[in-house]
Amino acid sequence: MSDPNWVETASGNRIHRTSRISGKKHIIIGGQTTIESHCKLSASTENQCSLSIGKCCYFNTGVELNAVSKHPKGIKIGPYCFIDKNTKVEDGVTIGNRVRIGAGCRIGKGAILHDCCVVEDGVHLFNGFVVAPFSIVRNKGKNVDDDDDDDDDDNDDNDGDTFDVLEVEELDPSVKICNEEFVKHKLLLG
Amino acid sequence: MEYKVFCPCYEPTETRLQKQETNEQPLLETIDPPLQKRTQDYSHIPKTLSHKVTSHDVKTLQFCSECQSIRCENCTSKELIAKFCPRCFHFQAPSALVCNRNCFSCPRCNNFLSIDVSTEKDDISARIKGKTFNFHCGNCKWLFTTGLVEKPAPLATIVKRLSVDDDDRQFKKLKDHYLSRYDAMNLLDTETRILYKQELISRFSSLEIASMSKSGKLPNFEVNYESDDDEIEDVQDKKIIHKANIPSHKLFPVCQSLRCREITKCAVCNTVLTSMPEDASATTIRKSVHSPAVEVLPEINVTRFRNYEKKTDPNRIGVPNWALSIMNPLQEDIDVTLSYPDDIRLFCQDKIIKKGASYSVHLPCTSFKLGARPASCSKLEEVVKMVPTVILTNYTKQSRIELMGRSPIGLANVTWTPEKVDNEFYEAMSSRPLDSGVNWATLLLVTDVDVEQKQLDFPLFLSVKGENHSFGVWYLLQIPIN
Repeated sequence: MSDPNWVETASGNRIHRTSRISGKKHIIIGGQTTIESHCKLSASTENQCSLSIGKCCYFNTGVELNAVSKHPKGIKIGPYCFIDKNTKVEDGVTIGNRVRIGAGCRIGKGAILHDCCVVEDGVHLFNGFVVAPFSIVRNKGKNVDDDDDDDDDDNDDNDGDTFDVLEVEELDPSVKICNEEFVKHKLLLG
Repeated sequence: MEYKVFCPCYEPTETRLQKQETNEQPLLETIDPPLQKRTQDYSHIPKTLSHKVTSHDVKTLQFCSECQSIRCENCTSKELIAKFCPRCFHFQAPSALVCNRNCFSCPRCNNFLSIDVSTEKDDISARIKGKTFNFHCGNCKWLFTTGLVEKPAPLATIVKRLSVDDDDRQFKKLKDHYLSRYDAMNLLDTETRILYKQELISRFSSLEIASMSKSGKLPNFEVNYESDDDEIEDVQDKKIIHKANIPSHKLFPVCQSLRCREITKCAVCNTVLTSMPEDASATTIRKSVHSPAVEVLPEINVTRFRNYEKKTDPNRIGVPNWALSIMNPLQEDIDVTLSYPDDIRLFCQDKIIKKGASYSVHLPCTSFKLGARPASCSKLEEVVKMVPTVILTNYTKQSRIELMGRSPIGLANVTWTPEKVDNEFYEAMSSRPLDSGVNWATLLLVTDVDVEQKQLDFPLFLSVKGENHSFGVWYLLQIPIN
């Protein structure tokens, strides 16, 4: 049953052979975590543990976790998180439990995502941004920096920089997703 | 297979009252005999049973142990217990709307604003004149300066004061105008005059009050538009301009709106259904759900028989091709009675059924007992015992071991063979379930549905009687036929 393209550790972590992991002595992975192909996990050798990942996480193809900039916190990811394709997580980021991050996202330095958050596809989360528990973050599109001042002089200098506009909404926390027995039941059924 | 649970909160109250006062005939005469025996609200088929609004996913429902019935979002009330800022996570007063701890967002990109303060001093006396607050967005580089603030005040108040524009001023004038009119009308009435005495004295002078009560006429309250023509024009122009086109220097920092922490109560008996620990911090997300419906209502699963092959099915009327499994989530033994309407055509949501086409269901066994769910089920060996044989696969080692230990008669009953078409098999299964286990039972379900139908919508009433629980629930099963 063992696939030659995958490496399975004693704690049940499954890592695709095309993924690159640097500074592995400073990385802790909880167990039952899957790291898909072409992922990049890099940890700084300065910190004791600059990249820690909880159990049962799933990183889709092309996910990058860069904990190399000597940030005192490093990257911390809680259990049961899902990070979709080509998402980049920068240093100093803290991600709580059961967080889902969409494809093509960028989580800026020092951002904090509390438990049970959802970050939709293509969101560029600003540096140091804090997302409260049970929140959904959407990208409202791009806006152009168009300082339309009444002063007519220096109009040529206005190069029209674009910037992302975010929207944060609250999810309904009253929904009980599923209990432990239900999950086990489903696991038994294959 | 999907199923929904019916909540009777949308049921018209008139029919309920009629039922209680005059023992009128059932709404539909084609009711199964066990259903007619019921003397409570369940004695009639609900009028709103087939409505999409009334059927809910069982995960979203609560169960009120006092009323012994399910509660959907519509029949629960929410009570505010605290408000907190989703950025700084500090609790605020319940009357507050925005965070008073300097949490501001950029009006252009919704990013956090960093704030720095510069103190301005008098050049000659070196006395502090005031402070200037600078807001800066790290994403879109937007800048905002409050100017010199001489009197200390909360930053939210300073920003609010600065952001008062022509719209707000115009609105305030109109508000004052109508408030004055309202008070003056109260003044004319002698009864209300006594009630609102203090407020009227503060608003009007004694001369005005005297003249109004003498003449019995309202004073002339007119909004002074003479000097505000320019302002009105500005307001009208602004309505046309889209917010995005407002120049950045005319925008103001947005105060962070607060989030609420609520508890859920039953709207009928006020029993607390979900609560939060009193000492919980703002980042605590876990609500203690006292009685979710998932842990009370029996779980239903309609599947094909084991090793069912479509080729062997002659597609004849009355072929016993379905197995209905019911699982008890309660930790007590329960008596289960099933009922369903004879004519289920009314509940077909898929499409209109052709005339003469067959569309019916038959359950030979409608009354049986279910054992209690084991108290501890932390190990996989214990969990696997709660899975009915008909849906237990052989994909995992644990399930294969369990399958070998299951009763051979039960296993034979839920495994597909062409001989099951015989009438003798029906008769044998009319008094007992096909197979049963710790807390579950599998029943025979005979369908007679036209080949063109893709889905069978089957309303099933399930009444449960146990030591601590006694309730009845309508399930709406959606069985994919093809």
